[in-house]
Amino acid sequence: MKIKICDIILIVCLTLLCFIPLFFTGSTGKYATITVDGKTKAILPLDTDTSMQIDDIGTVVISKGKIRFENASCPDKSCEKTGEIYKEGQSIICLPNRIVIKIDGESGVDAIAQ
Amino acid sequence: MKKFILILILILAIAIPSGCSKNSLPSEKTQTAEFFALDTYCSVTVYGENETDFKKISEDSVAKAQTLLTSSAENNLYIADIKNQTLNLSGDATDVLVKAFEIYDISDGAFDITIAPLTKLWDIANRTEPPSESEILFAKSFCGKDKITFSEDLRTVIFLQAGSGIDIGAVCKGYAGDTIAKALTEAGYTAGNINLGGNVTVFGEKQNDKPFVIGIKDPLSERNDSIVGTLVVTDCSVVTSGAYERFFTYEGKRYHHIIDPATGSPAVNDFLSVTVIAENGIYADALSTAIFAAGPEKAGQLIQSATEKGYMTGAVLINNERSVSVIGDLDFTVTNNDYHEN
Repeated sequence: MKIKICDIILIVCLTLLCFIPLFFTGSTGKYATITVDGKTKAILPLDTDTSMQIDDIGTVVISKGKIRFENASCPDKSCEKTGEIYKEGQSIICLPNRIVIKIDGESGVDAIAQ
Repeated sequence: MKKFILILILILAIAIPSGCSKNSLPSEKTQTAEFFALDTYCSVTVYGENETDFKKISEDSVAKAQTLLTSSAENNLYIADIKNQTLNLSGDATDVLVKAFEIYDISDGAFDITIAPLTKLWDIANRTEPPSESEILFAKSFCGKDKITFSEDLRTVIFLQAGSGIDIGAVCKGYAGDTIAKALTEAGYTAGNINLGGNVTVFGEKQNDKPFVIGIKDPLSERNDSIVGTLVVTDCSVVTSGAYERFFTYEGKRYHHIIDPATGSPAVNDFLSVTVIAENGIYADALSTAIFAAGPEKAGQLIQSATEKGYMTGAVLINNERSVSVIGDLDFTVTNNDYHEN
């Protein structure tokens, strides 16, 4: 059997088609929502490095697609200890200052008992 | 060439929809409300179509839980100023107190709401060093089931000693979870997931009869999303008590919020955390505290009695050797390699 030009085009097209799912299910476009006492302060994209001062409570830092909380004014600093978050459904919570930083989307579990 | 175009169209017809399939699955309609109450972060998710204001329903139920004893009692802690002082109870408050004393009885006092003078003394949230031994002994002398009594109709508590009191903080979230679940069911929601700072109550089933998957917090990790394993449940409360929740550190020693009524100080034993699964949130909340305070030696007997009485359906115990014991008919899987099931 001889390979025709059409066959080559077909193979190239098929190969390209394989990548289509990537464009639809890619992980781009993640956002972190920052709320203080239930009020939304900011919605920040994780693909842009930035830092933002939240009142006198602390600083939100986005770096390399991950977000963390720094210079927290609370005594226990559990929000800082949570470290960097980047997966959908992850959150940083500061109880004393009533801050929630949450990455939109669903996590694997419905809730965590703690 | 015609054949080629036909094949190409065919392939496109197959490839494009499959490429999108992850996004085009029929997704279930969910709504989530998040708010701060009961000294913690609360989140309520409801499933199904319903126009009722579920956030208001949830917040109203929580407000009811926060003022269960009196409209002014802070953190649901009440201490009598004079001998024979009385406190009138609502029907719900009576139910909470009766259940709390049921757990007192089967746990030999490992769960005791009359330790109010001790919880007030320890005040874990604001302390930086432990109280002295004499302060602990003094506060302890005001504690115990014999320091209070009930009126015949159970609607009034009588404090037999000035300075005695009750602290329902350890069952308040369990009660609140039940109250929210009940109110949302009455409002017509078919399923919901109520998370009050890690006290989880679920009701109904999600789309396609899918049950809820609850993670159990990794007690040794600072991260709030690190888990030991997952539990598959329907219609129940899942409550975890652990020494990692609220504590302060003094001279290298950790002082956490679960006071052992027997010693008057934070419970010291091999448990890292105790998770209880029960149909009733008040029992789940009280028993997780009771089992933690009782310690590993007495836990088995206590769980057996509580299960026989129908107070709980199962428990997940994690000790400081990272060993996980699953008791009862539970669908639990250890997903964290740092832990092993025994």
